[in-house]
Amino acid sequence: MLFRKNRTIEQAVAVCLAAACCISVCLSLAVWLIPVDVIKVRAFDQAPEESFAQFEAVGKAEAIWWMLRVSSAGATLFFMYTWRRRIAAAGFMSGLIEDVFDLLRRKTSSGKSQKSLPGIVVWVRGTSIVAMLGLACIHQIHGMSKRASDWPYYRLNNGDEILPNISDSNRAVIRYLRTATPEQSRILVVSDQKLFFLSYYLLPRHLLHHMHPDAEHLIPRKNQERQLAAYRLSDLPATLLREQRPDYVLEYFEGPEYVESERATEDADWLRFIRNWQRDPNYVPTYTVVLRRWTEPAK
Amino acid sequence: MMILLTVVGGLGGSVLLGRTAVQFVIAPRSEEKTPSSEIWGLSIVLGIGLTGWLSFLWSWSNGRLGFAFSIGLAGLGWLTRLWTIWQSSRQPMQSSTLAVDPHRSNSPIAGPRLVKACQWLIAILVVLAFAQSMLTPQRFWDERAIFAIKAKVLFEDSSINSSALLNPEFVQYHPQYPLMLPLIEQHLYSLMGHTEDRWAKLWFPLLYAGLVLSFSGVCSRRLGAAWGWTCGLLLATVPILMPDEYGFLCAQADAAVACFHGIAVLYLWDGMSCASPKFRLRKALLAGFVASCAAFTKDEGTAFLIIDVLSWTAALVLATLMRAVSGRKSPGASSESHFAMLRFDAFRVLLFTSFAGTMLLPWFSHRRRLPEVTEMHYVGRMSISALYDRLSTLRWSLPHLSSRMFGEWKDWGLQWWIGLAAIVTRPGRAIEQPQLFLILNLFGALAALLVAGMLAPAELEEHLGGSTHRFLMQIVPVVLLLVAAQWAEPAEGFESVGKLPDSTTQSIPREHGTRV
Repeated sequence: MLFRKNRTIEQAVAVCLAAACCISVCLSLAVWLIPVDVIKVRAFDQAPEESFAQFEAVGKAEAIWWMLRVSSAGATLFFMYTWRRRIAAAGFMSGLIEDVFDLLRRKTSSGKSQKSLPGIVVWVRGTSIVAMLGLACIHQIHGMSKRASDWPYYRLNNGDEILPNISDSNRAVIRYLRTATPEQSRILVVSDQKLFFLSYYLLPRHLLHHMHPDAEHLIPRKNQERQLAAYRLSDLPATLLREQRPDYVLEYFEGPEYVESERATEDADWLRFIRNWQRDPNYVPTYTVVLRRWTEPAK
Repeated sequence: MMILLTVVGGLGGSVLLGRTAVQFVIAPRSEEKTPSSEIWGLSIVLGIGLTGWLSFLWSWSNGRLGFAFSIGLAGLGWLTRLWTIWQSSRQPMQSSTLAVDPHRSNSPIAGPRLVKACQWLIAILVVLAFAQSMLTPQRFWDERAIFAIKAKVLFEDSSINSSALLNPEFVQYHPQYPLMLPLIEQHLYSLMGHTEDRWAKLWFPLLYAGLVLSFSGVCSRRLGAAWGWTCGLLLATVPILMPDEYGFLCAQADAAVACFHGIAVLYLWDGMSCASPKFRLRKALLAGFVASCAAFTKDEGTAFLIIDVLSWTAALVLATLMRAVSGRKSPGASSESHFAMLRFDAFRVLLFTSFAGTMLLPWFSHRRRLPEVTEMHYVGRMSISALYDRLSTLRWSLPHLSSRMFGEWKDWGLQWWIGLAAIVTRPGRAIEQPQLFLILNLFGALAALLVAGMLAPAELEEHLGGSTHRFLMQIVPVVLLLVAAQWAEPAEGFESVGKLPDSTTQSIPREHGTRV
């Protein structure tokens, strides 16, 4: 009886492995033989007629194709190796099924003295394990799909190059300051913005900012929905500039309470930079950026 | 390619440094068989903790961080490992008991195929964690505004006394936040010779591997291999620890705190059911070190340290009271031996607290020099009147918290439902001292979150609403440990968890006396 059961499991495992081998080999051949560019063109054609959507679709298709290439090659190697050892694999599978049923139905303890858990505990425990693993599978798939969606933006680039997950205005100011100031400079900023990302991406330049106490524990909202309190340059104590001895002073305001439209064109270098950035010679920024060198006034 | 080799060398050096530390913590003549998964998991966690602490202490004593120090630290790891291997080869009989794999032990294991399957699945999950982590640069608020910015400054200035970090006007979020993550990130930057924040994220899947391996190892040693590894797999698949964005996939501190705090609680729990008094002391020291790592990673770690001490003490008192009320005694144990056991446990609490406190002293001394801009000052704000005035916040925060724990299970996982089910289905087991400790620990952590919501100077809904899920992530390993302990029978060779074998109760006064 036991021999027949083992024989059946062995045959079932052999059939499953043969099928898995065939599928993974076919998949591997398909994904490695079809060039990525073909898939990218297809994704481009199928995406909505909008450059942003097309950019995303092409990048995502490329990522998914590479994921398929790597995973199908791995799966092929694994299934071929298991096929060669199919008798051992069948023994393992039958034992695994037995172990799983033991865990889900009756007992957990090791060794000779196995004790049974109460029926309700075993039932709840088994259901919980299955539910947790099921949820984990969904999250893993979602995670991989998210990575494929991220790929067009991040690829394998350094964060310093792509400046991820910040506003366009922050990105423009960082790029401007990188071109307009030397690396070791100290830049004192007066601003109604939280400047942590600017500070991070501008290092080794040191960004200095005298934060308004009312803005200390507030989190900014998108599109300037929350106006943070800030000091203007004229509000700063004179001693602060003397103490900090910055190389540059930057005025950077985006909120309606602080932006002065007449100052939008005050900094000619900034205006040139942002017009070049926007590829629009008549572009006028909606926020104030004024950078100037600071020299300590003579006593 | 060169970068990859450097990074692997640096990470490997740290892990091997931890491996040497494990050699000392888990004595070579160990009476317990320590699974190799536990040894390597602990090596990873201790190695990362040691890298952070040694970098801090070196810089605190005016040493210069940078390539020379980092290569020295990594080299120290590799050299000490070579030395311990050489030592082991000279004493084969002593060392052979150290890395005893349960699969190679004499007693048969229940569910060996299930164990193997769980190990394979965990290995795949760890590889996926590394891959997913490396596919994104650092891109969240906290990971850049608090930790990565400090790491870059430490790399540029090669000192924790950097003028930028001491300057209140320098733009950084939470200047007083602990330096574990910035220091380990700068360790890799120093080895690479430049900053690239994607590589710095490698520490986090490594911590994930350390947590899951240690957890599986301890659970398989205590609760049986099949159930232990199943629980390890369940921990590895909790969505909040490794979902699409947060957890160990990013360089925020929450998952790292979950790892350190989880392992501290794991070893405190393990120590409560450990047979040998000598190992109970070692485990208290080990837990103290890892708890200090949690406190050196994020401020919540300090709260967890206090909660650990309070919940441990409370569980001890409650268990003693219950024993006194019910008149139940361990077989063969006299009232004097009970008293000796209580005294010994009190000594362990003291040892744990004082060791963690001593580790943290240099950090708190340095912290006083750091600027206070954007800090929340919870301790300074705490008073009876302030708490009383803000009691009304509970009307929002309690429903919010329960919704995050139970309502949003699709996003963050089923662990809270399962934890609740584990207590409800076996209430008798839940009041045994080790499980009581875990339950009190969890309640303490949840209470701390509510108190933080009451005291924080920020808007309540914004502050708690944006951080509850990350805080809950930090206590996930404790929930899973509770589930594991509640739904398991003790492994062969051990008494029921929390009850000491007779030989232990008899040997405590002698052991204790010689040590004190």
